[in-house]
Amino acid sequence: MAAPAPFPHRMPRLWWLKRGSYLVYMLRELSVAFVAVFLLGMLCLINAAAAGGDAYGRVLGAMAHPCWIAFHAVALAFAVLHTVTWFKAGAVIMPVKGVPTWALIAGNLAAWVAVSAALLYAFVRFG
Amino acid sequence: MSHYRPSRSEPVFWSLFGAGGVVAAFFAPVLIFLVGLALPLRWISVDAFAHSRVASLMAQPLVRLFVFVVVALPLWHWAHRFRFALFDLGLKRARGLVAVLCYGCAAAGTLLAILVLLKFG
Repeated sequence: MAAPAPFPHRMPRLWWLKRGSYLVYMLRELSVAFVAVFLLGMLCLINAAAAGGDAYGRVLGAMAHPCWIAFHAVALAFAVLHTVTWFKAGAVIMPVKGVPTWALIAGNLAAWVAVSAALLYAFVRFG
Repeated sequence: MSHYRPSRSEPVFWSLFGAGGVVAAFFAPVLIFLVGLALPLRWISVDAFAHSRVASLMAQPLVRLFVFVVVALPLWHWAHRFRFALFDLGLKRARGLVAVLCYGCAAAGTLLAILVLLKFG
């Protein structure tokens, strides 16, 4: 028989690597960090726009660097992970009587697609 | 064994966490796609993001308000989430310091956003 666990029980530091669902949980927690960094970067771009066309052009050029493209691709994946897990959690935390969970999630996802499409359309159409 | 006891200010930070989560959920993916990928990779017309157009957009108070909400609220969402993620990673000491650092970063980011957006006013 194995020796009993010592008291008090200490959680292993890498507990979240022990199972797939734990890892997804940790990735979910990490996701908003990428969103935050992106938003600060967007603020930099806006700040450069305030400074003038030259500064704005320079920041835009810097953003085309492969490292930044790679970062934004990863950040996009993390942002979508946040969106999906947020709606899934919200449907459980704030249930609506009579509405099944999947319908709440689907409704939010549909609204998200609509909002995203509207923003995309606004920028492409009025460019 | 150390226990976490929520403080009286907890509802404020949790509300900011919730609001920031909703804003990030709805707006982060499309913004990252637009500003981070489509624009640098020229998937959309460069004119859409021309400096003159951006400047005239940012001159409108509603646009500035939208940008402020979209930038500031997710920062508070990150701060609250990161603070508790550190608990999950085993950091149980210096709880007060962690909270101050996390929310302090969010506050700094919020202030930065205000300062930048005021430049267009």
